[in-house]
Amino acid sequence: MADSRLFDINPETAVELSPGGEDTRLANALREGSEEAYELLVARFQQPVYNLVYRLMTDPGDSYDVVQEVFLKVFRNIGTFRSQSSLKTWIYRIAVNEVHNYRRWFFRHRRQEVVLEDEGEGGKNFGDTVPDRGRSPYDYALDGEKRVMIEDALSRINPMFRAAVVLRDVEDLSYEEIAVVLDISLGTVKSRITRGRDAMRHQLEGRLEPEPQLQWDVAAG
Amino acid sequence: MGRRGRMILQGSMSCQFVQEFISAYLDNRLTDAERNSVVSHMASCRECAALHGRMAQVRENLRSLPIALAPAKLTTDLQVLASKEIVRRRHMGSASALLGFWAGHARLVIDNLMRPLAAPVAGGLASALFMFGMLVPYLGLLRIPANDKPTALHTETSVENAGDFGSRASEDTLIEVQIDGQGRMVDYSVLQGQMNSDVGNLLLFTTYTAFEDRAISSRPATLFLQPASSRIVIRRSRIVVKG
Repeated sequence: MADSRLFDINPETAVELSPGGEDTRLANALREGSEEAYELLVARFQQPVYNLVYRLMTDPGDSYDVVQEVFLKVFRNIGTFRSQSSLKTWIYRIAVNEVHNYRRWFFRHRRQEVVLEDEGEGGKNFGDTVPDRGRSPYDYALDGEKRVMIEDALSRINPMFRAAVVLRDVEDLSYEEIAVVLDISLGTVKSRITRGRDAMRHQLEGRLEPEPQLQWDVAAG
Repeated sequence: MGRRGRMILQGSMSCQFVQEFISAYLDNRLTDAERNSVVSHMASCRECAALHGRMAQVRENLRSLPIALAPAKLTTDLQVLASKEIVRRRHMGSASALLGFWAGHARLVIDNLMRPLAAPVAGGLASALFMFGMLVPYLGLLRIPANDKPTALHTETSVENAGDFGSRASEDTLIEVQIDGQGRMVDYSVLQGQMNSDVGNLLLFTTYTAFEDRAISSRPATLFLQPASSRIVIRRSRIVVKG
């Protein structure tokens, strides 16, 4: 049984205390079936994983199910965690793969589902007029149009580039961590982030107010 | 050194190269030489500087996205998932525990499969038994020894008077006769021999003990003291006299 003093149950501080040794101890405790370790794992990673999955999904309404699948795989495969990467990047890698699997399943099965047509609005389908993001009109009013536009732009770019951009700009992972999560080289990480941001720029072109022009000084370089 | 490297050293990067570097520049992922080249280029190129501004805006927009809060129910569901996994992991610890786990799992699956069928099957079985019980007396399947004297629950019929008018049997004959509760023949079948006029006469004129004619101890074909149908087998043998 794992020693309870090994773990910090508070997720706020636990994230800060996650060097390799802490991850290894947590993984070992999980392998031993420590209830406390499972509780800590859920408390520490539930919110970040949900946020990541939510941003990567084409239809965020399905994030709930995907997150459960991610944790099930984490529980089942904790024995394969080798401490070569952090627990965070290992779990993120499972999450990214699970989203990818779900997307493939979605395109195979749900694509063939009948879409409700609205004849009165020039063929726009139901999904266009009522985005199913699980939000109320109050949320929309509160968060503002800008956020909706950014999320919409994000959902429209290539999923491969979206994953890199989300991991970098939303999850604030380093290039090295992204390379581990996506299982690609550093050069590819750099390339995908560039392409992703460029695609986002094209999507948002003309929709958001431009920032004031920056002034450049050669001497400042 | 490649063309790109020479351009970086000379500080003469083209717009195309600079635009590829802008994203990495924003993340501070450039070498000092690359960074200086990009900065000096943007100082003189309004187009690249504008692009840098827009890319920085995109980056800030993404960073400004609020955290998508997980539903409160997710915590509960994940804890339930964890509990199940803990139980599963503990059961996988040893061979006997593993065997016990799978046996329990199999029992549960079978139980879940059988439970919806239990009521219809029990009801069907009870109905079938009831119907069978109702039909048994009429099917003639109930065979009770004829000498059931002590209880007299069942008595067999018997031949009171064989209708033989002195004719001689030309061959051995075996006839099964179905008698109703009133001592009347309702059906017959010839089990051995030929159906001829002698046999016809025999069947027509043979009388059987009737319910009204006998004392209780000898009442024919009764079941629980009630008249019941029965069967009787009549054998008619050919007598050969020598000399």
